[in-house]
Amino acid sequence: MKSDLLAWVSLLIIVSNLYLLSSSRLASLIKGVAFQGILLGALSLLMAGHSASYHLIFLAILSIAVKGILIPFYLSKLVRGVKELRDANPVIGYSLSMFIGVVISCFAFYILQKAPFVHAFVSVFHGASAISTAGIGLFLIITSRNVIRQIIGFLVFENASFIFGLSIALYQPLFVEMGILLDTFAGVLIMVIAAKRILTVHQSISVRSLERLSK
Amino acid sequence: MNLIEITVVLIYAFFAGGTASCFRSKNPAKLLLVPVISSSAVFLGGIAFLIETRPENTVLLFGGTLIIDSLSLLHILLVNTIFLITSIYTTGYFREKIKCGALKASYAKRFSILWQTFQAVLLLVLLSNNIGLMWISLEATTIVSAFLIISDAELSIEATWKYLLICSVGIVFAFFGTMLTVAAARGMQSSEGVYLFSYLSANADEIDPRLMLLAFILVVVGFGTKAGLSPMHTWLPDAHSQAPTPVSAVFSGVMLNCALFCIMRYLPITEAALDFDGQARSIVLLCGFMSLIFAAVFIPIQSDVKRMLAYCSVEHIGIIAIGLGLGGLGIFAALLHTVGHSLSKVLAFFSAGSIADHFGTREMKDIQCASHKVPLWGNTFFLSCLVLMGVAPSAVFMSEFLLAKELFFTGKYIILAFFLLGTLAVFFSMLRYTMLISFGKGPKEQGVESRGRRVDTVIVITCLLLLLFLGLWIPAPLSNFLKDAVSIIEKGATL
Repeated sequence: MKSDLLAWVSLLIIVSNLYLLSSSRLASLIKGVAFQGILLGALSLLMAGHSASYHLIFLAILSIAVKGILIPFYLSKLVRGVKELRDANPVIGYSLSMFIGVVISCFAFYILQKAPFVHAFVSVFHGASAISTAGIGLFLIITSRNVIRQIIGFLVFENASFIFGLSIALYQPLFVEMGILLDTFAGVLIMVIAAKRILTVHQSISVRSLERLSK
Repeated sequence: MNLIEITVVLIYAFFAGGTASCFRSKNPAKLLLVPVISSSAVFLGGIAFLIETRPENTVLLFGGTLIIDSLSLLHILLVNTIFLITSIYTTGYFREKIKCGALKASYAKRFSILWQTFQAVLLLVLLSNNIGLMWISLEATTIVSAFLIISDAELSIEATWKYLLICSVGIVFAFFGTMLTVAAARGMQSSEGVYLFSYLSANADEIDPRLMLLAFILVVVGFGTKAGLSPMHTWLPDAHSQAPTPVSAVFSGVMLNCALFCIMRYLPITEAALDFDGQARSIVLLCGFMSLIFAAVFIPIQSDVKRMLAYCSVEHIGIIAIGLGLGGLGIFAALLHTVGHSLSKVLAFFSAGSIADHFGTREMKDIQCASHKVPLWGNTFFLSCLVLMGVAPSAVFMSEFLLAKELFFTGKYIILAFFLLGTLAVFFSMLRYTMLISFGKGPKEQGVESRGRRVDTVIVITCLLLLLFLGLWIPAPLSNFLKDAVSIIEKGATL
């Protein structure tokens, strides 16, 4: 039963990735990434039941608080300050992005059968959700035209490492787990502060305003 | 708690005290003195480590969470030295800005707090025996140092953004590598030992080789991004050129080394897991080789003096990686190169920053005859760049010579040819720029415009003499110290 639930939550994570790819508004993207944060908490809780670890319950609560509530809250605050079009406006269109997302997810299942790390995961669905999330996170970063979508892409990419870490984290000392989560939070918070500064200096969140050093 | 653990606690107490004192103060001059005091105390702490541990010993601290061996000790001493001299330089660098009111108390406060925290987390990277803690510390260096890059300059925000995004993504790759390492070691008896480098090194034959190789590739990509290895180095020229000079100096002088240090910890474990077939070394060698070639191609087309020095860092990190990839004498050369590069690059950044401030531009075509107008920094720039180019006799020349010798005697003639070609290309391009900046045609009748501080002169002369000395003779204690560190990179940190 728990294994089934684990598989369903893993599948929901993959679906949330596809939702992020198809979202045209920054506000929807933030809601999507918050939902993914809550799914990660649920995954931790299910894993805690799987291995009877209080350690993972604590991690689940932290994950929901940080990834599901705090980070989306700061991102929403940032978006409210943006006067220009609040469209995600990616380099690649939404339909093609969705198609690429589906290909990445299928590839994740395929590679898991072939690669030597299949036993590192609790189940195939769990492993595939980690790989698919990593691929889609990177895709979101690369195809972004604005810094907020880049932050969300980074957050999704980082979520993949969380899913991956969960299966191997059982014996990790708690302070290390806490450190990893706090580092993520601090990292994203610093990105949000930097994005605010970009907005103040350039009056825009477009990455085009950040191409002067490349010239 | 033993004596070494007490020293570690004292070092971090100094950092905490120094940082806390900055929150209260509002005077910029006093705020900039705090890092000098704390880095002096930490420098003495590093010396205490050397005396207490004796270089040939490996000591586990706090239940195995931290480790001190000759490899970490070498890097700790280097970090402490670079931070100490840079903190002293910083007081002079910002003095003029304080005088004319360009430096606000808020900036000095931010700088002093982040500066000390940055050194504290860098030291934690070097002390970590737990692979998770090492990852956390290195990620923390990105978070802490990002706001050291931002100044009033508009372009600095762009450089900060690239640094944050690229290094953070790279560090997540390193996290995948870290977790895969644990997965590869799952068959081991101790479930907690799989997180410790010392345990993994001692039981490397029980590690799944295929998984470990994959983990190592991710570790090289991840930590290599932070180390500035090509092709993941793209953040480096922007961050180094836009950051204030003291920050560029420590980025290039020690932060890149610390990231490479993480790869040095994984290298012996991977090699042992793969039965010493050389695959892991080849990966590092390839990255090093690419870095050297990238730098050789990009240095000639630079116009900004700090960008040129940034690409020069890519070249030297590449040379260190080539040494690590070769093994044996190559690793010895790599460690010697680490010391030589750090000292000379810090001097090069000090002088480039001071010259650029004096001339009001970083464009090399607009800076001429610096040795006449600002003799201390003009001549230091010339001499430190000569060292960086590998001119004899200097520590950098010695390590490059040892590396070429190892390539020749191991029969890697093609790599040797490209190595010589790359270093020669860098040599000629840098020589042209350096001659122009230090001795180029300019109005000499204006006379000396700035002589520099005495303390800066002492720092410059000491570092240059040390670089010259290491190019002529490596004393037996230092040679043995380096050989111990080499054996740790070859066999791992075992007790």
